[in-house]
Amino acid sequence: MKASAAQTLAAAAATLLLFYPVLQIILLSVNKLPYFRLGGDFVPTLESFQWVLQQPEFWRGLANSLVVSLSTVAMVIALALPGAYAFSRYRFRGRDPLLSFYVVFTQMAGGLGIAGLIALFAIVSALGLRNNLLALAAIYAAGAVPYHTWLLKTYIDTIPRSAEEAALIDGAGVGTLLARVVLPLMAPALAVSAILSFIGAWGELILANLFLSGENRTLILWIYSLMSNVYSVQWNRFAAAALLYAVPPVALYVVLQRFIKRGLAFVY
Amino acid sequence: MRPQLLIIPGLLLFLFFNIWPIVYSIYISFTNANIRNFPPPPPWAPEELRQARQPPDYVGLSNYASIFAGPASAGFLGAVLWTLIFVALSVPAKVALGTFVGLLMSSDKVLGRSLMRALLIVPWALPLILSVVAWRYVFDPTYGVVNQWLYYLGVSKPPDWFVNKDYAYAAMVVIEAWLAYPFIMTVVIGALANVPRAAYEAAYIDGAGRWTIFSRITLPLIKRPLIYATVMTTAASLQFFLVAYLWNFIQLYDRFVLAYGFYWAFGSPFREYGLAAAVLTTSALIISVFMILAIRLTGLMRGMYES
Amino acid sequence: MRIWHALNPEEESVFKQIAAMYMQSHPNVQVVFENKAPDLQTAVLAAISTGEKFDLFIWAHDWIGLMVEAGVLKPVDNEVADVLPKFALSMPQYKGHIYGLPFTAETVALICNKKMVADPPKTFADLLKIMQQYNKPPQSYGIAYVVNPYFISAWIHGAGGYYFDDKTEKQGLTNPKSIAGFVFFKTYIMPYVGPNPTDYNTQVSLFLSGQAPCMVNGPWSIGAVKQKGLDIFVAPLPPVNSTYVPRPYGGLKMFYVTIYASREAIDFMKWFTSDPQVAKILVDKLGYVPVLKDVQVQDPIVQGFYEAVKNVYLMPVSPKMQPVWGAVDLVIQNAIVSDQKSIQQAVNDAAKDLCARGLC
Repeated sequence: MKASAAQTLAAAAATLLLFYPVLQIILLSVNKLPYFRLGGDFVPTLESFQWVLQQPEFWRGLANSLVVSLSTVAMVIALALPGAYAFSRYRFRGRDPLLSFYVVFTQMAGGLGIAGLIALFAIVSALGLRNNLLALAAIYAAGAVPYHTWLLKTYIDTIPRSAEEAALIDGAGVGTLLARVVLPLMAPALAVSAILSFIGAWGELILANLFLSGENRTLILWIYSLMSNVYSVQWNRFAAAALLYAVPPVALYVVLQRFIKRGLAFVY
Repeated sequence: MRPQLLIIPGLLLFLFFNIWPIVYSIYISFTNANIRNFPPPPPWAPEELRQARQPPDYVGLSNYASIFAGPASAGFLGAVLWTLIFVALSVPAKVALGTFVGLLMSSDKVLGRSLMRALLIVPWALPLILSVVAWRYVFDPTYGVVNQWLYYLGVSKPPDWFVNKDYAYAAMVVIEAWLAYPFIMTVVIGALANVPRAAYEAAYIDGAGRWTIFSRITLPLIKRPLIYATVMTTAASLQFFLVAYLWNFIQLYDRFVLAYGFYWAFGSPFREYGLAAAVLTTSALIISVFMILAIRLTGLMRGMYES
Repeated sequence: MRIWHALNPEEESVFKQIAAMYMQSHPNVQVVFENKAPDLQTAVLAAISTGEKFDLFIWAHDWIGLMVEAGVLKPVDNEVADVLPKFALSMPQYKGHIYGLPFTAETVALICNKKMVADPPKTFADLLKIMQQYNKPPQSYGIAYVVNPYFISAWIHGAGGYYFDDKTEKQGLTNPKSIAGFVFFKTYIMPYVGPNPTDYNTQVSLFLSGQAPCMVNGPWSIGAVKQKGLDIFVAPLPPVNSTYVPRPYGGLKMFYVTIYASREAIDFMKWFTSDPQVAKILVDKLGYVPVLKDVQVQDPIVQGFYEAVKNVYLMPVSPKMQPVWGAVDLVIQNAIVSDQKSIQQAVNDAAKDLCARGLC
């Protein structure tokens, strides 16, 4: 079929309109003035980015965010993969209800998370786990278990059992089976799982704000603090900081798109 | 080795940090927990501390009475109603927008699709805090395009989209539509990705009009994925919270159920945790009922258990 | 001794320098500052429930009531009695007790561009003339004024009204004197305020660009003014007449004394807040407006705010004040920056809104 000028124009207009908010933030971050206005003064400069990179809080926040996010990824994979394998390969009592409970929870995680927040606050305080990066990662990982178990289970379902059966005949245990046979076949699904749990932990604000303070602040908390004093926000610096902060998740999303194109259509 | 053992570590952590807090919150909703007595000292705290800080008292259903028929009922029922209005406004908006761009991005007749797709997916990937600020700037009274256009169109006193409660709420609808359209778009593109082109060409040769092609070929293909996506995005609208929290919580606290619960727990004068827990428990119940009904009615989990 | 805070890095380093001075003369005392930003309130409340011990924390004074109710603070009326006469303000109290000492105050004052206004207006009539003279929209406006509850509070309190009474813990929006204050603001100031009256950035930029002769703002705005290189003076908001003297809300930044505070910690707080030398360091390095009597302030800008602080209406300490801000916002939206409702109607509706927020 031939290209249609009308359709291309409509698509371009829609894209421009929908991308405009982001475009504006990008322009704001490279403007010398602390604001940006369509048709107003615009003096391009990288000063705001330089300022951000000179802040010790930025680097400390970055390090903390990496600790939290990578720990979350490790815990999610370690906890969800064995569960997913069991759900996919075995039949046992309670399997179906638990699986559907996991799926329903996945869609309500946000709401239930807020509902449990008050109690979580008390539990974490009582255990002395406030202001502890690994404890925060464990909380994130716990909330991510249902979704990732389900996600990995769906993928394992598509892997033929023949390889495992051969290994079982050779007398391998479940652990060996997972590590030697299943794991290599699962690389794409594990990558997707890792990416999604990384992005989730990277961007979480409410729990981080409730539990972390001082030296342990993650990057999002520093960025949040840049905008929380309404009387003195330097918006161009804020925009630069927020854009730098957005680089890892956006880059990971690009990678993710490749996996989706390769047929991992279950990732929604 | 029993297969259950593989599930248990993940399940235990999940139960401890997600389900136990919810059960505990339900318990809190039957108490007068507030800043004076909550959180209570843990059982292993020194005796003097536990003496000084008595745990919350059991108050029966009084928090629930308060939110359904008492002092907090106007606020709570109002928040429920406004949340439902939000669903009614935002869900059609995001589904229509997402479907529209999804169809455009699936059309061979559009040049430069891959670049546009890459740009259109961005709102999905951005950290929420950046999205909120991007929109803060769009709605900024001085620098924002919205008010610039309103001026241009002859509105001499354009509204303040942050301080004014109703305009702030309207902004929430727009922002939620923007945050969610990439998801709908992706679903639509995915559903149309494997359509044999021959089907369209045959239809053209048969002289079918655009509408016929859309309703006979395209719609049946995207219908099921779209229903699935709509259910999920409706759940997201019901649980709308964080954007309102970052936008102007002082005014938007009673327009979204979760925000209303959060207000009583972390924003009210004495942090009325008990009342907040009642609000949040009820809200979670409403959301669960919706999810279960939606799953039943749409057969969303059909094929779930097979392997 | 442990001091919790959420100071910014600049403040933190000055505080540490001052503490180092103290430790030099008191070798047996160890002062440790611990940053608990961003959510100091939750950090304190969590600590108190688990028995984690710290001595003092630093925040604005409007948390006193909340922290007392939560069982965090202990009264120090007797311990601090000897230094109270040194302060230029009466101490904020909750249910008759003092729970800490302040080291700086913040409030709004009149900031004018000397190129447009030579001398501080003595009376409101003088200010009105200035506003009328410059009010030529859209080239220039009478005044840059952020129309929000905090900034306009001066006129409500000056008229004898109040948003909230700290003693009775009741709202005062429907009080006839408060209504008179709102009406005064709407009649005599609102007509001269530039576009987007509720937006902070718009109002500040009107003043910075020379489109308004004066603005009403606080010490936090001075950085931007200096950056722009404007020659300004700062003065208290001028009185309408001998009985109608504007009284803006004032906030104090202070040390809070926790139930675990040691004797040494209280002594350190007393020294920090009442020593004129410390006050001078805070003025010079951070531009803090002092709260002590007889501090020699050289900087005319800080001096202007120092004068303004003497007229403040202290921000309430009761936790029940918290929902009032949102309710006053409604009055402003419905009846001051627009004419959707009469002021009478708007304050009645705001009182209902307050009830829904838990303050009846």
